[in-house]
Formats: sequence, structure tokens, C-alpha cells
Amino acid sequence: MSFKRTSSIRRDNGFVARFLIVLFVAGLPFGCSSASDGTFESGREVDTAGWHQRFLNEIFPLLRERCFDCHWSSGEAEAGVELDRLASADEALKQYRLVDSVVRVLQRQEMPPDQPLEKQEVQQVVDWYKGSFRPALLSLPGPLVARRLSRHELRYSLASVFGFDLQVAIIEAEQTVVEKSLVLKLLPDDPPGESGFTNDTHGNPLSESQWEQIATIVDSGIETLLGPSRNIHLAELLHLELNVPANKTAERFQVISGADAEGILREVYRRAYRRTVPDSIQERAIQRLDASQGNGLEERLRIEIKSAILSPAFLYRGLLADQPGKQTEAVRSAGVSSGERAVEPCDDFELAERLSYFIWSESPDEELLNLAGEGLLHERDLYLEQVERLLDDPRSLRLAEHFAVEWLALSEIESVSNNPPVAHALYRQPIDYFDHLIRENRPITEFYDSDYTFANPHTAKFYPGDRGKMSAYRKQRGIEVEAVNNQKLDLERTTERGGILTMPGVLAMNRGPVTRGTWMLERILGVHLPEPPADVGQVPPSPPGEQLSFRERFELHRSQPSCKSCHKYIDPLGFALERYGRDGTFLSDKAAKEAKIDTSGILPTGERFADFAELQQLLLREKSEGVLRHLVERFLSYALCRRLEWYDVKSVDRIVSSLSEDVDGVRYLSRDASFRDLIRLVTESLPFTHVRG
Amino acid sequence: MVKRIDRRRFLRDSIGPVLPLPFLHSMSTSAEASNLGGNPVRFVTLFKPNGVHPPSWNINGGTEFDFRMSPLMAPFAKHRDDLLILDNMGDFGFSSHANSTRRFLSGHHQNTKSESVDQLVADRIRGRSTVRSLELTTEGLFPNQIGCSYISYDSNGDPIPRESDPQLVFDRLFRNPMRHPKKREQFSSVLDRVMEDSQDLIRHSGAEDRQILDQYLSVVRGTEKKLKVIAEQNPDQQPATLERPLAPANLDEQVEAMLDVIAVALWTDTTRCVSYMLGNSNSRMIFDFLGVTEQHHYLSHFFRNFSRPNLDALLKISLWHMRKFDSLLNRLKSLEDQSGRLLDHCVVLYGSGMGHSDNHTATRIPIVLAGQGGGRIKTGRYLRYSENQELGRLHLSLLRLFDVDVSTFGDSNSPLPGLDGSPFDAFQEKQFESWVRFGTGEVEVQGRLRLSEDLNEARIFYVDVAGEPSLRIDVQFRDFHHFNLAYHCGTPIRLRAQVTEKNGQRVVTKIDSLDSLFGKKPGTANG
Repeated sequence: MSFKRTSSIRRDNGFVARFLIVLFVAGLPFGCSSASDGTFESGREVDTAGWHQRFLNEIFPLLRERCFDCHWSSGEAEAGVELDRLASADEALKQYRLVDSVVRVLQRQEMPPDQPLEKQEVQQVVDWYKGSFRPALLSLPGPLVARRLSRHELRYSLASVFGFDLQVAIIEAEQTVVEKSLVLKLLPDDPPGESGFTNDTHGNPLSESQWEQIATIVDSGIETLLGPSRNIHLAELLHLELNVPANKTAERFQVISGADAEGILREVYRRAYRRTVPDSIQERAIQRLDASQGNGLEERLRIEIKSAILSPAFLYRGLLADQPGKQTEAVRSAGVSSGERAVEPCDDFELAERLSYFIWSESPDEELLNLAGEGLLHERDLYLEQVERLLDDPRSLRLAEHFAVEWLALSEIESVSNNPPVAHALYRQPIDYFDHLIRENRPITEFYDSDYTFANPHTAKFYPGDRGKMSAYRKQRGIEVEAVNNQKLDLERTTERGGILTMPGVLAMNRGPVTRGTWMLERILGVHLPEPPADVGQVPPSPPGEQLSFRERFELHRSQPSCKSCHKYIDPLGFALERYGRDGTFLSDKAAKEAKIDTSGILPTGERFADFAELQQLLLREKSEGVLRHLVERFLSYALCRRLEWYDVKSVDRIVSSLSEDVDGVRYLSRDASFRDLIRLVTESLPFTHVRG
Repeated sequence: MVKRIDRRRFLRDSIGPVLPLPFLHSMSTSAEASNLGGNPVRFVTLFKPNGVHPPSWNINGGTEFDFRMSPLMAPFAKHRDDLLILDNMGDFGFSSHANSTRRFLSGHHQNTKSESVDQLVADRIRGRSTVRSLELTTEGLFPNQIGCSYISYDSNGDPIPRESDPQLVFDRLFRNPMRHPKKREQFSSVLDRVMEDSQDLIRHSGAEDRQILDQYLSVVRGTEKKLKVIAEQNPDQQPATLERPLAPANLDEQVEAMLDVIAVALWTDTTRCVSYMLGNSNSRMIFDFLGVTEQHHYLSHFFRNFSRPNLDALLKISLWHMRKFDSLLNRLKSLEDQSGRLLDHCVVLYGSGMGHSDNHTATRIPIVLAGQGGGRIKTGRYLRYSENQELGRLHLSLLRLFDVDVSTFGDSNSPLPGLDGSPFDAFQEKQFESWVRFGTGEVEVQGRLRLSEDLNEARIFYVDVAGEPSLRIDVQFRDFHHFNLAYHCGTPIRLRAQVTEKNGQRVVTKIDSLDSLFGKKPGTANG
């Protein structure tokens, strides 16, 4: 299969220069809260071409002269940076993150390394960036590109069609690892997409073997649905309360009547399509049920159910949504022009789907579908009520289990210990913690630092001063090791813990200072570093007669400029965590002194700290805007199931500014900004609620 | 001429869900003669985790034809004529859980670079059966010692993934649209509908969506093509009347359903080779359906965790394992094909990889063969070899039996004699003098060591001395393990030890030295 997602880039071709935004305000949901960001106004024409002309005239010659020696696509292209590509406007927009970092690096006088730009040259770049480039980043929703369900989404969506999760019969003894989900067992892992999330399946089209496995899975579901427990399953599917004695219920569906078969099939279609089913399709299926030739009714019902679920309408998201300017055959044959509407709110079914897949990784439930069917979902109060309802539902745990796990690469914790109850304890800690933050609507700051945690007997040793408060755990007689649920534990004396960053599993999955520093840069601060050069070699031992600590030896080792440019970001963060041993244990004062542990550091921007606690405060104060921005970007990217693009920048800006406050001219993450505030802002954002034609 | 199957018997003997029997017409055609001439011989292995309580398993005394089944063998006493019970199988050292698991089908724990015996046999006997082999289990992976979870290994010595769900195995074998004509037809109808609906959806979608749908359709067409090719190539008839097993509610139902699937898969000649683990070695399963609330592994260490209720619980579990073996044999005896009972054309290997389940001694490992393997095994006998026989020798014999040309296996290079009735070096009692000499607080004794058969004191050993009361040994785990009492059980030893007087009886409480009179010393290697 050679099909690749026709990238949104192609659609954007030449789009910027000639784009005339004509909006019909009446058509926007909630009066289009996004209109307030300034780029969206009815009938306003935005001249977006000027920024690039100015770039070519003023900035590009400067880059060519000073930077191309090392950063040129036909030359060195160090760190993978190819500045000549910015000559194309589309490319410059696509690589807006590169533009950001070029400006940042020049501002800090970090490049060129031997002789940075003159002050006034830097000013010229900054003026262009602030005056022309940033304003050119229009706020627009992405085009609606259909994509197949990820295997997690497929698992939960099948459960919501059938009414039960498809499970594999296997005994889950203690200390064993099992995959109970049939879907997860039979389908291969989805590779993360460009966004870094597996729900971003745009780059991974359905393969033949996947499709055949899905067919097997659906068969298995139908066998269970119409199997010996059919009374329970069918009654649930048809919303019947079988108020007959238990032994009599057995007769209800023993022979499936024509009316029942039709009812079952309609319900399956409704759930599988997640929207109004095109009449032609559903009615044809129902007629086939009646067909007198061939097998019995039940056999025909099986075939029809299977066909409904294997339909692309089920397996793909965003396929049937009304798109602005959609030139469907139906529209064309009716001779209706779709007009110039380029940006439009999602139809209600699409909105319902976006909401439920974001928060539950699952298809919309009955309540959402009903609201969408009545055309009410885009009403702001109702919509926000639904957001809260979905978050209150136990299924929102999937935000922690999938979003947080993929964002923070938490699945690596599972290989920290090969004793499953211990690995499970370390792994569930951040998950339960993250779920708590959302469920209880805790302040965002608590993600990074707090005075409580979740622990169980396997992790209690990391909280020596406070473990005494945990409710007693006694193993039942004859039980050697077992997995135990977490409980919330207030940390009064264990001051070195709190928040995600100091959780033992997170520390243990990143063993050394370099991996810890890199992880914090990438996952918490959102800074992406190029790959290290291939010939880095080993950290040498101490020179004869000298007793150097690892940090001292390491700093000697990486003192060359090519190492330093990245390591000056990585090392302060990583070494700040050196008090935490390889397995995440906090070293005693004595042990730290013996090992000559030095946790102090200076950030490249000049801030000093003595230990991790001080660094944590920097992350929550002076550095908190960047930290918050990355958090917002990750949430939004996961919610949209795609990489963020230049046209999302303004939406991110808006959310960041809502959640932060001005302190002496610096944006600080607001102490009272909560996780539900963030999620609500994401669900109300322009790219989440709108589509572009 | 096809014989009738006693359907009621099959139903009666089965404990769990039962598959109605398929029509027989396909049998005479599908079970074609294999390279073994006449009827194909099938190979089934059933692994029992966590060793045994030896006095309950071992046969005391007895000869090849004149022997009495042990308490744990009671459930399959009725199969006596179809069994070949092997005794004195094992090694000289201790055996970790992972090593004992590898030993079961690979002959030796260090045989980590080659195929296990079932896999070597599978290639040889496959014939025209559609599925080369099944590797089955009951529970999840045990990552702490991953080797505890696998008995079947591929040609690199790497573990072969196992399947646990009887419904899924059944679907794969008997409802696979790629093999089953009726299912194929049904699947084709589904493909037609899906394609028709997709065409409809294309009418409702824009250009972008159309590309997605085209891609989707090309996937569906790929499957359609595959079905056509298979339909042309494969006129294979499979019985359509088999009923899918029910979803199991507990381990017992899961195993019973799987045994049904195994029996029918062999009978329909869908596969000829099956390995099945009743649990991981080291299994922490809780047999709640037997009323047991402790973990199996905890109970299996019955010396350290001794109590009468614990031992009873362990024996319940071991007995359950034997019952599952019994269930399998019942099925294989009930099913018949053109030349008789299915069991007569099977070799079933039942057993474990360790003996005493507390100190993991690798001696007197439970090993039982069932079925005559098309006349190549002479059953109804009990073979107690004179010396410890490595499992690798048994595997070599089995490989010969299946005409696999291999001259060494594991650590062994000569096959185990006697399976086909050929002469073998049988265990013989040797004459020895027994005596006991007490000193102050100490004793020197020569006599036969045995583990108490009284379940109330399963951690107690005795030395039997002619004309004297048996000398009671009540030592801590350290001595039990260090001097490997379990290894020497049933054999004459000389013992020097310290005694204490308890209730007017002199009891050994600490061992100073222990020597075997005739046998080899036990190894100390963790093998």
C-alpha cells in the first residue's frame, strides 16, 4: 500500500498568500470564543504575504552569510537544521518551531558559536519575528482528515458497540503478565504518529493483516453476543428489562424474531456509525435480513452485524462528518454550491466524537449521541456540562492510562523490575496520581510538585517518614507476593518527594543524569534535541592521583563545543536529580557526601539553584510559562490526534495566557489554574471545535 | 469401515463443556496415512507444574508388571493398561523452576540452543494436517524467570508463544474463513456488503475521504482475492457441526474446554502435535474452585510451609492435575477412527521437570507415557530404572519412535531402552546390613531412608533398620536441603547425626554426615 496521508501541507499550498477569510459568525458554536483572538473577524481580509517578503529581504541574507556554513541543506546541516529551506513561505510556516528556536538562539547570542551576531542584527531579527512572523500565524482549525481508529480506540469502541469488553480466557495468577484484551492481543502496537501519540494514526493506514485480525475479533464478539449468554447481552443492547424469572429469560431470545433482529441491527448501526446512518445503507441491510433465500435469520443477522462493524464508517474517524466546502457527489448532483465557507464549526456528531475519543478513547455514548442528534451539543452550557460529565465518568482514567503514559513514556517503568507486582506498583503510581489531578480538579502546579502521593506496600519504602500513616496491609495466609492498590499518602516528612518528577518509577526508568535531563527537557519543557554525534565514547576514569566524582569526569568529557551546545541544557536538569539513586531511592546525607554528589546547577538562561527542590521552584515560577506551554501543546495535540501546526500557535497562546498570570512582567503559571480548566479550554479551542475546508 | 463413537461415553467422561461430535464422513478421508505408515501417530505433552509430594506420587516396590498405583495416580488407575509409568527419571542436582521447565521437553536445562522434542516431532509427523503444532497454556507470562512459562522451544532455542483461550484456538482451527468453506462463504458475503456500503459512503464524502476509502477498499479486495485463491487450492473439508466451547469461568472449565479442543483437533487431523502447560512452573495460581485459598507455589514448598491443611491443599491441586490427564485420556479413548481408538495412535507424555517440590530435587521426576503410539510403545507396565535416567534419553527414544533422525539430544546420546518392551536395566534391591548405634546425644545409623507417609508429618523422615524401631528425623530446612534428604529417599544410607530425646523417643535433630551406600552422590549444581 503506498497510500500516505495527503498532508495538510499540500492543502496549505499557496494558501497563506491568497487566503481570504470569510466567516459567518452565526455558524460558529458558542459565539465562537476563538473570535476574540483577533484573527477571526467577519469579512476582514488579512494580508499575510508581507511577512515573508520582509524575511527574504532582511533576514535571509543575514542567515545566508552567517549561518549557512553549518546549517545548509546541501552542506553540513548540523543538528539537522537547514536554514535555506526557510526561503519557501510554506516551509517556513511548517517549520515555525525552527523559526522560534533560531530567534531564541540568536537572542541569547549562542550562535554562531565563535562570533555571535551583532546586537543590532539580533534586534532586526527580533523585530521581524514579533512584528511580522508571529502575527502571520493565523488561528485556523485543521482540515478534517479521516483516520483509522487506534487499537486502544478500537478496543473501547467495540466494547461500546457490543456492550462488553472482548476478553481472552487466561488465568491471571500473581506475578504473571497477561493481555486480557482480545483487541490488544491480536493487533500489533500502533507506532506513535508525528504527534508522538498512538491515536495519531494518520501515517499508518490500515493493513490487510490488521483488517483480517479485526474481522476475527468482530467474529468473536458476535459469537459472544449471540452465544449462550445472549439474553443478558441482547437485553442490554435493546434496552430491555427482562422482568421474567431467571429460568424463563432463557426463552426470550432462543429464537430471534424478525422484529428483534431488526432492532438489534439498528442498534448496532447506530453505535458503530456514531451518527445518523445513511438510509440507503441501513435499509438495505434490514431488507437483507428479510430475504427468504439462503440461511436462517440468525445466520443473516450475524453477517449483517459483521458488515456494519467492518464498515469504514466504524473503523475510521471523521469520515462522514459534514465538512465545509465538501464537494460530495450528492452536493454536486443537487447543483448546490458549497460557497466560500472555509472554516466552520464541526457538526454535532463530529464534536461528540472528538470529545469522547479525547477523554475516554471511546465512541460517544448514548447521551452524547442523543444531544448531537437533537443538534444541541454545540450549545455552550450543555457542551461544558458534557465535558464535566465525561471527566467525572470512570472512563476518564484513560486520559492517564493513554495520554499521560504516552506523553511521559511511562510504559518504560514496566521494565524497571521483572517482578510484576513491583513494576505494577511503580507504574500505577504516576497513573493514579494523574487521574487524581483530573478527577479532583487539582491545580496544575501539583503535577510538578505537591505534598502528597499515591503509594502501596511495594513503594512505601520510598516514603520512610510517612509510610507509617498508610493503612495496614496484611497478606492473606499462603500469598507470597501480590499486586496491591495504591492509597493517597500525605507527605509531611518526606519532603524530597511530591509531584511526578520525583516518583521512584519515573526516576528509575531514566537511570543516569543524561537520560533524566533529556527526558525532562523533552517531556516537561518540550525542548527537542538533535541526536548526539556517533563518536561520543565513554566517560574516562579519573586521571591518576585524582579522585573525581562522576559529574566532574563527565564535565571534562563533554567540554568540547559540539557536546556543550546540548549538554548545557541537559546536565543541570539531570544532575539536579543525582540525590536519587538509579532505582529512585533518595540517598542519605552521608551517602551523598561520600559519593560527592553535587546537585547544584545553572540554567543556560542564568538562573542558579542548589538542589532539585530549588530547580522545581524555578520550573513552577520563572520557567513556568514554557512548562505550561508544553503541557498545553501535549494536551491539544492528543485531543486533535495530530501534530500541532503553525495555525495552532495562537490557540496554544490563548490557553497558556488563560492559565497564567503576569508577575513583574513574567508570565507565571497561575496557582489556581486547574487541570479541568485546561481540559475545558482545549475542548473549547478553535481547532477542537472547528474544521477547515 | 468407520466405527461408531460412543457419544454418551464421551459426554459422561467429560467434566466441563463438551463439543458435540462432528460427522464422521470427513474422518476417513482427512486422517490420511502419514510417513509413519498406516495411521498417523500424534504426539501430546501435558506439563504439570511445581513438582510433587513424593510419597504421594512414588510407587513403592513393585515390578514391571506387578505394581500398585500410588495415591496420586488413583484418578487414572483405570487407564493402567494404556500407561507406561517411568520411574527414576531425572538428574543429580537441584532444579530451579525455570530449568525444570526447560528440562521437560528439552532433556537438559542447558539445552537452550535447539528445538524441544515436540517441535522436532511436529515437523516429522505433520503430514497433511493443516496446523503444524499447538503450544498451549493456562496462565500469563512469569517475567521474573521467563523460562518458567515455556516448555516448547523453536530451532534457535527461543520460546514459542503460547495460547490459552479455548474459544480462540477453536476459532483458529475450525472457524477460520481461510480454511473453512462455510465460513469462507460467509466472509465473502460480508466483503460484498462492506464494499457496497463503502461505495455508498464514497458518494457522501469529499476527495480526501475518497482516498481513505479507496485505500480501505484495496485492503478489502486483498482479502477477497486471498479467499478466492484459497477456495481454489484447498478443497479441505472440515466438520461443520462442531460447537464452539463456552467461555470458561475458571481454570477447570478452561482446561476442560481446551482438552476438548485438543482431542477434536487430533481426531480431525487438524494437527498432530500439541504441548499444553497446566500452569507455569512457579505458578502462583490460586485454585479457588477447589476451595484452596493459598498460592500453588507457596503450598508446593510443603517442607518450609508445613501444615496439614497446607499439604492437603497441595495434594488437592496435584490430584486435580492428574484428573486433567485422566480427562484427556478419556477423550482420546472415546474418539475412534477407522483403525480404532485415537489413543492407540497417540503418544501422550505427562509429567513435570522436578521431583520433590520443596527442595526441587531432580530425581524421580513424575513421568508417565500413555497410548501405544501405533504399536511402538508397550503399555500396561511400570519401568523403574536402576539409575537416574536423564530426560534426554527418553526424548531420544521418542525421536526414534517418530523416525526423527537425531543421535544426541540434550546431554544424552543413547536412547532410553524398554519403552517398546525391549530389555532395560531394572532397579534391583541390593542386600545391605542395617544397624543403629546410639552414643550420647548422637547416632550412627545405616538403613533405608524414607519420607513419612503420614500426611500429618510430611516434613519428617525415617531411617528403617531391621528389627529396630525406625529412627525419626526431624530437622530444619537447612539440613533437609543441605544433605538433600529428598534425593536419598527410598535408598540405603549411612547417617551420622545428633539426637535429642522427645517423648521418650530419640529423634535426629541435626545431621553431621550422610552417605549413600550404593548410589551416586547427588549433585549440588543448580541444574
